[in-house]
Amino acid sequence: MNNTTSIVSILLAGILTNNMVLSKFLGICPFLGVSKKVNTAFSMSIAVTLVMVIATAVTWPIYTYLLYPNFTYLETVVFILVIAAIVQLIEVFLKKFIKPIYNALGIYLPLITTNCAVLGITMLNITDELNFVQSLFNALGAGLGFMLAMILFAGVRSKLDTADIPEFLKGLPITLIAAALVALSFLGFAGIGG
Amino acid sequence: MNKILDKIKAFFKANSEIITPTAVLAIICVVVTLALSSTNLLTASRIEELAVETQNKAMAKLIEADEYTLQAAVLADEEIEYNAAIKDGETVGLIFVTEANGYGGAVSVMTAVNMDGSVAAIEILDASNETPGLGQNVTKESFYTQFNGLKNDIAVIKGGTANAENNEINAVTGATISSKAVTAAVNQALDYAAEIIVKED
Amino acid sequence: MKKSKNLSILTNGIIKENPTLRLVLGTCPTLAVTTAAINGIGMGVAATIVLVCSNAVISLLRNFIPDKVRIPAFITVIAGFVSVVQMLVKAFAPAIDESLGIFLPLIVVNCIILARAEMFASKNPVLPSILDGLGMGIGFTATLTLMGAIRELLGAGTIFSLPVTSEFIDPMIIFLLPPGGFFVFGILVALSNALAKKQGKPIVEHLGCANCPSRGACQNAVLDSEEKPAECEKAEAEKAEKTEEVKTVEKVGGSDE
Repeated sequence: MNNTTSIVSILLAGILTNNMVLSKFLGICPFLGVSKKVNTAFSMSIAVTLVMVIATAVTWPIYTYLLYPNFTYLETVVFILVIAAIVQLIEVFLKKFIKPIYNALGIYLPLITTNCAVLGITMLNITDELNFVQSLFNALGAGLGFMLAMILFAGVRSKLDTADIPEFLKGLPITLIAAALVALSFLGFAGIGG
Repeated sequence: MNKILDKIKAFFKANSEIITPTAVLAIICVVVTLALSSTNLLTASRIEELAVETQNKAMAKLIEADEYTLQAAVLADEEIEYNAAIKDGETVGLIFVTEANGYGGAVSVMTAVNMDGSVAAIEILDASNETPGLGQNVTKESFYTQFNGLKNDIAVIKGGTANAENNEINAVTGATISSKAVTAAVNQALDYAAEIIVKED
Repeated sequence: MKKSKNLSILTNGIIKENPTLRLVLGTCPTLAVTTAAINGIGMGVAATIVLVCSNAVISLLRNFIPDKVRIPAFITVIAGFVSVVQMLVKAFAPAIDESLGIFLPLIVVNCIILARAEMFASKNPVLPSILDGLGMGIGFTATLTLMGAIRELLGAGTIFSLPVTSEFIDPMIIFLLPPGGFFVFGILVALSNALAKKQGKPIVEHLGCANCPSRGACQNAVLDSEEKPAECEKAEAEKAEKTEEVKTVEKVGGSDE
């Protein structure tokens, strides 16, 4: 990618073609674990999107102005600590000032520190050499893509509850196979971003 | 003096619940940072050497020369770097690394251009974002050797009917987008080369 | 007697509590890098090295790390080892670095490692912790390699890049694509469930509280189930304490730059 990659195509790629979960395999844990109901899936993805964008807004300048070029080897350590701190700060901030949002999203926040999608997106912004604005939209796109995948999958799973499933596939196996079919449908988007 | 010391001690005692964890974390971080910087000292030069070595090997495969010298040029307000292949004191080719967007991300291609503006040979440096088994087939010899000898504005043809005389190449079956990305990268290198060759004349 | 106990710690991770198939941890790399058997080995070995080292260090420090900053401290240690491994791989095995890409640094957030730190290394002496890390690592590597081999065989007709069926059968590329990853993993879990059932062991139903990698860190792991087990409620109470961590993590984050 280069400086001319437009924001629209970055967003589109994040949501559809390079979908975080279904084509990059990032954030599989919440995708499988928190997708049983549509409303929890939705809240979780809002929280993930929020953390992704804020984490990008903080890590990008840190990498570009502090770590690059002499301390790039500290990237992993610094990024994960920054993300952990941000998650805690957001939690405290919401708890103190915006109680309703905290009540809705609060329980998802601690799960996010170890979510590889968040660390993944902040690192991908650096490896893809995106500028600050592109990085923010890349994070937003990735978050929205995560949301789309989660909600679609939650919808699919709610059908599974009533389906007649062979004994040996019950539980996690059928969930994974359903995920395979959702991923298959996303293959159809590939190449749109050009 | 003792009073101040006592006060400090009392302060630490009263706040030990906050200070101890902070101190422990700080120590861990310092140790980790030290360990990382020493590993970096040990490996950095080797990583750099490796990068140079890989590049030299790739260049040697594309165009034969005595040495390759890194050059920089400003073309249309864009600063680009390239290597000049020098044989018997004469420039025999220009080598560019260019990128274009493929199916899953950037495809990176190294193109060696003869001084008459035709492709000497190309090498696909990175197609790891392309689909394994489809788009990644652009790294197969049967695909990338098609470019040898072609001139600027190479076109991609689907269905295997390309004719090298018309400056065409066959797309990899099922991977037109990846094939087009490689072609776009090569065409860009040819654009650069044309400008540089004109300038030097 | 003691020897057999150590042995059982080692084999525990390989079969009984296979991190990928039984505990269902570290699903992201499991799905992402297994497009070829060799990638499975590369990922597995890198993760094993990190796992053994971090388990050893965390076990050594287990009496010095205050409970409050446990998780940030573990993460820092793990991130340190991951970065070291990353640099070494870049310097001495660049091909592996290329094929694993971003999933190499992402070992930091591989649930297996934090989970073992939290559940085992922080409560046990050094030797068992090392063995636990080694066992879990071998289990992880074996599963990844198996899955890589299956996907490579079906998707490219080769195993370890050696042609097997590629000469006479057109490979099914779909197995190398994301859907194939989910599908093969689903079948493997089904098989492991079937085996477990035969031996009268519980099957893996969902990713719930019991499976949540960092339930200590996550605190409210059960988001899907209707009732919250007592365990999670207790975790919620502990949450209030976490507020203080913010400050410490912040400061330390700053000292890094």
